[in-house]
Amino acid sequence: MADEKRLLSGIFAGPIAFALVFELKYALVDYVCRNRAQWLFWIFFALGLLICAYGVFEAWVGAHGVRPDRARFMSLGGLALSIAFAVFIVALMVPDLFLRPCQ
Amino acid sequence: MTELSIEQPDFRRERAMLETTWAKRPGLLGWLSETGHKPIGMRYIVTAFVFFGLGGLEAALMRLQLSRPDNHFLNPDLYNQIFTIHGTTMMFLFAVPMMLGMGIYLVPLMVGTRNVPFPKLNAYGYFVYVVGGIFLYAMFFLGAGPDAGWFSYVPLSGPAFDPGKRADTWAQMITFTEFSALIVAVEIVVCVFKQRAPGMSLNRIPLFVWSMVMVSFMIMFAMPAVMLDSTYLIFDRTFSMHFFNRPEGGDPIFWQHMFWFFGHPEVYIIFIPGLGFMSSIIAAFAQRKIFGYTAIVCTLVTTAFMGFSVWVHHMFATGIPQLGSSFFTAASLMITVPTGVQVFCWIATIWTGRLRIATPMLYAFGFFITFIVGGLTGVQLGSVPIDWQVHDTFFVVAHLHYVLIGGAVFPLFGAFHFWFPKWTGRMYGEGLGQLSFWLLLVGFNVTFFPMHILGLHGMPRRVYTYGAETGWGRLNALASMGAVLIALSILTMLINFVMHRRRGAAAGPNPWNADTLEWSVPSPPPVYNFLHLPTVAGPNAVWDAAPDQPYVTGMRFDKREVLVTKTLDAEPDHKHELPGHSLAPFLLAVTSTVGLIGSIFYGWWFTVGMIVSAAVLVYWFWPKRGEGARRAPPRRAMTQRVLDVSALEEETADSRSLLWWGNLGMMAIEGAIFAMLIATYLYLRMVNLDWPPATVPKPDLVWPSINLGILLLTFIPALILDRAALHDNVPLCRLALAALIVAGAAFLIIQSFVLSNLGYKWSDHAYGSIVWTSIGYHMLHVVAAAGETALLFIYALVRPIVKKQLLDFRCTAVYWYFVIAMWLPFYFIVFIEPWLTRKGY
Repeated sequence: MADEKRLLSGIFAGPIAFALVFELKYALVDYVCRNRAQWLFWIFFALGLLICAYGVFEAWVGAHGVRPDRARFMSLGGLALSIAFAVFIVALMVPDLFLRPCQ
Repeated sequence: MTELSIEQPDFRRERAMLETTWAKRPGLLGWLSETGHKPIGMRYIVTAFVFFGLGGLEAALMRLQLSRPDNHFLNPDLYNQIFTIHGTTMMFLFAVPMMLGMGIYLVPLMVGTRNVPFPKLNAYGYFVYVVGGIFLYAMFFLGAGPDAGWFSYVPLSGPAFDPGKRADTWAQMITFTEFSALIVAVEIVVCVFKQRAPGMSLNRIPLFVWSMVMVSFMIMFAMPAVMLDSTYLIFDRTFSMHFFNRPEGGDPIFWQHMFWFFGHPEVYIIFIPGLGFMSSIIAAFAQRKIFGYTAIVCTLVTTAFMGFSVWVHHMFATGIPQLGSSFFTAASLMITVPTGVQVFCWIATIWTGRLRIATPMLYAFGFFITFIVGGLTGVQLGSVPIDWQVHDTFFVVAHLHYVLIGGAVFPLFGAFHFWFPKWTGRMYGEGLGQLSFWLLLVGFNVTFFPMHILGLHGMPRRVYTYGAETGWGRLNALASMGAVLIALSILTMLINFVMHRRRGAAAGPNPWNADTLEWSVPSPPPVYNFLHLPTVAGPNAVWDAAPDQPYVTGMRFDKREVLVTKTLDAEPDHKHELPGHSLAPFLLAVTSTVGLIGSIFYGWWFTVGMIVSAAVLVYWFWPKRGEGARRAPPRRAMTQRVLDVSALEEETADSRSLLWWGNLGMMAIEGAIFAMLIATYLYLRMVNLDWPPATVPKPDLVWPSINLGILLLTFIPALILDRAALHDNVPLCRLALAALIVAGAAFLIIQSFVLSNLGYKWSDHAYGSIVWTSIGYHMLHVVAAAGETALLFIYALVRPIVKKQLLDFRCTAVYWYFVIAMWLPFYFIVFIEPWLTRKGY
């Protein structure tokens, strides 16, 4: 059961990290503009990548389940999703390099 | 595979028993009380197709109107109504219900079970959908058709610019259709996670089923947004609330946020099932396993998540800050990646398979061509500068039709041809099938491609005519000619199906040698689906089955029994008896219709509808006599390996049960609505510097806090009920139920007092609107919880309690936990937050 929890964490970590980073960044554009707090975006960025890394770790470690084919499927899924969403989080950071929150 | 032995004489008795147990009732009453997934699914498909025809007729009228400049075939008012109803019909009455209907029909067959987990609820979902559609068209023919576009933007649809009942009709139709979609979503999620055939672990679920699971989750979190949004609109219009009224603290842009938070995922809700159809068709016609199964599942998950991250690209022209917009540009570009991965997986499958060409496969190719064009223009529209240039022009019309027709209708028509032999037992005419495809492909491109150019030339959407000097006449005439070809294509398809429905060549169980379980049963499938529930040995159930693949024995044939399996590996867990035919869903649809439609004229009709619906719900849930009766089990076939489940328990009262999962699904939806209410509060707070408004008095803390205490205390009887039901302690259950009723009633009385002493009304300002709506919505939940508890209490007094009722007790307890938890954030924002943030108190 512990492995299954790990595998599920691996699957959901990436998408949840992306959703969190995305929604928080959008919701806080005004706040960041008013308070000149663009560093907040970098914190979200780091946090998002950290969660994705956690997803990769859990998916990797949890691959030793009682049902190898299903466990392998979930593990691969977790790895792919965590890595893909990590890339998406990086892509989401690109606009911050060129645009200011108050523009 | 498992059905090889279906013709063996040993099984005649079992088959006869199953046919009796699952038999349809004759006549109108039988039709109204039907709860089987196949008839209900087929009703969705046929009804949605009828609406598609109506929507197509409206499109034809529009094309006729626009076919030449300065045309006055339709007047502006009628044109407004027609384009609104066309969009509304195609999105809410055709596309979503059609895809869900396909899911309701196919998913139980594909996962190897006999019916959906909540058959009565499923029937109710169909009836409310039909009522919503009839209501829309009835109002249109009465001259009150909505006319503010399919997204009904405020303030155009608000009370100031749209008097009368036109916008209310649109808003309430949304309630009906979305309610239906939410029901189907819960049905599919529970069916897939709890009713799969033994052996169908997560990595063996067919890709179409995966696509329906993802769509169902999207529905559960997207549809509440538009339901709440349309309810706000009704409140603004009927009760003079101010959600979208800027001078009183509301915000019209908020409508767009809520609408598109639903509206963009809606696009994926429509086309993800199309991706599922594609996977089914391509695997069958390439005669090989889909290349990259895991990758496709991952891309479905990715698309489902990212579908919620692109809604603002519909609002670039509203003045969103550049950085905020750029996040959505990034997301809009990135969402093409998972779809691209799927396309490459299909190409690899075709490349490495043994491809046969027939009509379904042609439609799959049609998907590739049209959807890729739509995807490319989507990437363009995701970019702010291009979006600003072509916003609200025919370029957008072209794009959305390429995406929706290319992404959904082409695969859907392919799916019609693919599963036609399964539905009817007959083959369609291949010649007519191919003719209809080519007519559609050519007609579609002739109609919609010129619209790109028209849009780039500046022709705006939603204009009823244009001047000759614009030079748009020729391309519009061309587009109108293309529409004729589309109509011919659909007519050809219909003629093909009608002609071959009874007289086509016999199809046999699996004419395509396809891989999923529905192809292992006769065509059309028997009313009970599988004589013996199958077991699964691989991701392509039919192809991977051993010659002596075991089937499930030990299931009752004299009851509507389904096998409940474990979530991850689909190991047999327990058996569950489904309800049979019932008129209750139809009656509830009638009473809820009275309440919902009446409420747009007079608010008190809602209360009337609720009271009458409560009476019907008592009839719905009251256990029928004869339930739980036992007859001798049937003989077991000895000719083949079997998976015997006769020793499994017949019901459980814990978290493994279907009802538990259904309950969780419904709470997830309600939780999403609560979350959106909180989001509404926070949004309004953010756009108003004066919040709460200066006229709002200090919130009284005494009675609300006492009431919070009462609600928190209900946790104790809820917990006792939960534990007592788990340990079969009926007297203690009765006591806990009584305590919950008393606590619930006390809470409601005090809450009414608190509400009447707030010192402001819902119609005073947006703050009042959101506070009254939030408290009212929570009170409705307490009423529902208390009502359910009272019903169970009465039942527990007069009838013997069996395991099924114990499960009801536990679900009620969990619902009370939910009701308690949902009040905490509202208590904080309504009563505490003003003290913390408002100066001058």
